[in-house]
Amino acid sequence: MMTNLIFFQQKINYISIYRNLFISVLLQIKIILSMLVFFNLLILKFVLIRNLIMYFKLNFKVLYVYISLSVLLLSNSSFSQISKQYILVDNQSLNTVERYDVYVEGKLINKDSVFISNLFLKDTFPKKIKIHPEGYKKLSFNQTINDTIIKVIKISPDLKVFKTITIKKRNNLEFGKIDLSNEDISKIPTFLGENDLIKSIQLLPGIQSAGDGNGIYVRGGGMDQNLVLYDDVQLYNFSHLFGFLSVFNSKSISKVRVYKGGTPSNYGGRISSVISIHSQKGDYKKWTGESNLGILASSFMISGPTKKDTSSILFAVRRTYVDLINKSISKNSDYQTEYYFYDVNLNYNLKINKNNDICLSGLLTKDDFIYNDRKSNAFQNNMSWNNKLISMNWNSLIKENLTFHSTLGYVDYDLKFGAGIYNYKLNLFSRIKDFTSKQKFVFKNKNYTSQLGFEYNNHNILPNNFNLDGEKGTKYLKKSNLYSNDYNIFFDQTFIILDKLQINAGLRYVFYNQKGPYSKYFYNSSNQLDSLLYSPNETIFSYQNPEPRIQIEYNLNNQKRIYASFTKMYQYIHLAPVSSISLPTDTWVPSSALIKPQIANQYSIGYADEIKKYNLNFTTELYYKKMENQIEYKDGAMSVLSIQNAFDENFYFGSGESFGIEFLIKKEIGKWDGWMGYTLSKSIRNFDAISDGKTFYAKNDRRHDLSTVINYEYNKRLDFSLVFVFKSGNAMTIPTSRYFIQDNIVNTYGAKNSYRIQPYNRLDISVNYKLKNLGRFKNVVNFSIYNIYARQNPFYIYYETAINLKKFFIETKAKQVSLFTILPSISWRCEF
Amino acid sequence: MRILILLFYTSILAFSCSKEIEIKEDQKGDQLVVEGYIENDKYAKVYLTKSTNYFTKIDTTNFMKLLANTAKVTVYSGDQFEILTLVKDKKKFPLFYYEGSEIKGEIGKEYRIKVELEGKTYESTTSITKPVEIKLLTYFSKANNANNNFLNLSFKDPGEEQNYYKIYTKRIGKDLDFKPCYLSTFNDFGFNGKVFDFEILSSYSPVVDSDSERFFLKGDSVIVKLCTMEKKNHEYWKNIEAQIAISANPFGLSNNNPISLFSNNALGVWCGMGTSYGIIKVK
Repeated sequence: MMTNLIFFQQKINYISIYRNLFISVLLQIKIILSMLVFFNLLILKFVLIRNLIMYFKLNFKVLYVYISLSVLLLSNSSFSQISKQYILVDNQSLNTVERYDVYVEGKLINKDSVFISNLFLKDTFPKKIKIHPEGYKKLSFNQTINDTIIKVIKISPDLKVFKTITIKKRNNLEFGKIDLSNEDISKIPTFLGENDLIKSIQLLPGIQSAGDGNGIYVRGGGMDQNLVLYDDVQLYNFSHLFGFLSVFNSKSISKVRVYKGGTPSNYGGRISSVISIHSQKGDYKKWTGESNLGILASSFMISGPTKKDTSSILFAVRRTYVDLINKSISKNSDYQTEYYFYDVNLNYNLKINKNNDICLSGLLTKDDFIYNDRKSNAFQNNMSWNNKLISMNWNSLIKENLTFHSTLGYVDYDLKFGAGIYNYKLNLFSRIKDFTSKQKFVFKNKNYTSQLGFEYNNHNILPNNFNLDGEKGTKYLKKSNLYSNDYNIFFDQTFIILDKLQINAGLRYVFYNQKGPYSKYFYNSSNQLDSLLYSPNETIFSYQNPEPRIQIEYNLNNQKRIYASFTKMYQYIHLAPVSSISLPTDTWVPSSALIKPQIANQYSIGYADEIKKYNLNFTTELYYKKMENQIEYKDGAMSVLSIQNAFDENFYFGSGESFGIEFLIKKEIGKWDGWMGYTLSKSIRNFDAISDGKTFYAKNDRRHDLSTVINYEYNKRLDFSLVFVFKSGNAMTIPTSRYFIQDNIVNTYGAKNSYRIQPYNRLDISVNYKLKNLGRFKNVVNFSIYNIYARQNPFYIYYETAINLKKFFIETKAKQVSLFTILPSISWRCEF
Repeated sequence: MRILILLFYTSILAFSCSKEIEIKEDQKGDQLVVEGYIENDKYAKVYLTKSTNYFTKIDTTNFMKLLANTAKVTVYSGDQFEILTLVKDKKKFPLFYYEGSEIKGEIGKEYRIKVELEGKTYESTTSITKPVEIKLLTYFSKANNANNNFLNLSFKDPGEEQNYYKIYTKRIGKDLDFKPCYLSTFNDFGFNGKVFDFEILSSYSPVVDSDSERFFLKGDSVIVKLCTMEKKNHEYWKNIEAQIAISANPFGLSNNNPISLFSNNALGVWCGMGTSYGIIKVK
């Protein structure tokens, strides 16, 4: 049928009778549709339903014809003309290229969008078309009347131009989402010689950090509410160095996209944000490499073709020296302290043919800490955590404007914690194994983008398996693995109406089930311990929920835009922090009959302006988020003390609200660039079982959050960078009184999170100096100072009690511990 | 280069710092604290103290504010009641306790306590749960250190209902009173109706104990007390145990108060315990 339509279109010039007949029918439909243009939602509903039916038929030919017709009907302004659409596709990734300028007969007619040329029958052919895509080689061709309606042109990156363009970057800031490139990250002052992705993300408005740590809180949400994806596969713990660095080696990252609101329906499973990290692909043309020698760790990356223009590979590795240094320091010490981390990235890309390519990527990370009292062997402590991630992405160009993306992924995260007194050991082991499959079809043209997909996640979680390892061993009940599945179907449509209004509407429908094998122990009505045994794959409890999303953006003129969005999201895997800061020991648990899915309804409106005179972009967004089924640990106990409860009996449940306004002003062109972001926000929680049901501040509630990043290119060799951060202090709970019980002193606590610690602020500077090239070797020396004015920012507060009952003396003092008060670092980068 | 790196790491340590800060927050000390026990075949024993503001310095000038030795403490059992007598005990804080001499604890019976102090009345009730017999008490030492001994307590959980346990030990001639052992509070989840082996490692209180020994030494004679109790009291002790375990951990999140078991919001516990005892000498 599709072939017939194209044939029909190609012959349309010659068969005027059929053409007139066709036009008259279309005209009638067009009039009806034109009326509906004034009722956008009706159109939306209409097209959504029609296309849904289409997709379910899974007949791509029918789909193609249908959508092509829709496009024609909506985009043609007169039937005396025919639309010819050109879609540029990157010949490596097969992704569409969205930004290019089009010249017809030397006249710039189209900028920054998909090009549709309206060919008038009276026009003379062939027409000379020139296209200048950003970062790609320019191309020109002659357009004839016989060209197909939609023509796909594959283009190759222009390596020389590409570097220039990426520095220039895009101009328009987007609502609800922010993109960071490898270059953005590399400009920011280093932390111990490392460019850290998460530390860069923390500088964006609406994103709060946990002090110097790598915790991320987005728009008042919790740490577990961020979906962190590495090549579309979820990571549960992305921290090195107890949370001060992330596992992402900046050399192996190509780009990062952060969604704070208006999350498209192809993402789900977390209610606050999505941080999608794309790994760097290997170079198809030539072998390149980069090494970085830092004060904390060193890294090495090499990339190149295994078969020129067909397959490529990238390998990156990073390792810390702390253990090697420490070994030499503490060789004769009574105490053995060892710590190291490493991460390895491997990427393999293969172009199967001109329409298909496969990317296989892997991430391996490890942190290992050991403390041992060598002299008396009285106390030992060890902790290690590992990530193993594999992702396979297949991109296929099915038809000229229809692509298929398939992801298969596997992640295995485990944590081992041990503490021992002599040979009496307490061991804790947690593990998460996830299998992910995501299949997505994307149809794209000028005014209409549509995607339909299916996602399946299989979770296998072992939370806090605990044992006391003495001579004989106290045998507590072993924790069993927790199995759950979620099946997601998503559908997303974007319309551009009259070049002014862009509507993105989507729906995600999730079916979640907790499944066996599982042994559920409970006390029955006679107060006797009973058990229910679930066989493998038997459903224990299930939920199903729709997640509607809509975003509307309206261009007031070329520079000013307004925006509104609504997003509903559910979360089925949860993490309740067991400590006042985020540690790798925090444990994830799946939803069950007791632990209901977390829900967030987020509303946001925004305004953007491009102040061309000063090359500035400005956005502001106002948001309100209502969260249900939030969780907190009961008793605030360490998880080992709640070992005797079923996994879902250790929590309190409540609700939360957060609202705020974000401002971002960004300059991207010129010698000076950077941004300034400010957020005024409030985040509160309400739990019946906490603080007598009174509302309290969330731990990460921050009234003010200001971040400034300024980069200055002095000349081609020397550039400077500066970061300033100011954040209101965290909310925390403090003891208000103490008393004696059973020969110990215990505390009573004040209202939850009623105390505010000191504000956090710091200034970092960085200098990059490019040395003279030695052949193909380009050398850059970086010198950074973190927290240059040595601000003593609170990391945590503890209480020190001096007691001597014989002398009737007790005194308690509060002490604040600050880390990283002025931290200079130097690193050397060599590219070849 | 190595010297440079060494200097750098030293500087990190040097630049990380701890300083004293002043916390101004509403304090709520001066609440009555009750620590009362009644066991099967024993008289009630009650310690009364008062809480203090968290940051208030206690010394000889205000130490007496911690004590509550002017209270009237009454224990009721059915129609019976008894006013407890104040006993002085110089060896142990809080220097005084209240003790009964008429009503002995009986298994299955309910007991009510009433404390009257400074015009206020505080009340709570408890029951003595059925005790569980100690089946076997042994000790064993580590191969690499014969002086580091654990005790192994073996008992059979009754199985017909949920049981809540707490284990105490007392080294004869060394400890003034029974002390809860390390991770002493647990329930029968996972071993209901079965024989359970529990390894006993002593706990110590940095407040009152001069030695921090966790093992039982050669020559120690140890009395082991296995207690059963009601769920509400078990929950209270679990909360307290969590607080004590986390108190030395600055990252600990021990900021939930246990549910008050007394009228008028007195702190503490009135705990009925079904007890059984065993004794062992470590040779």
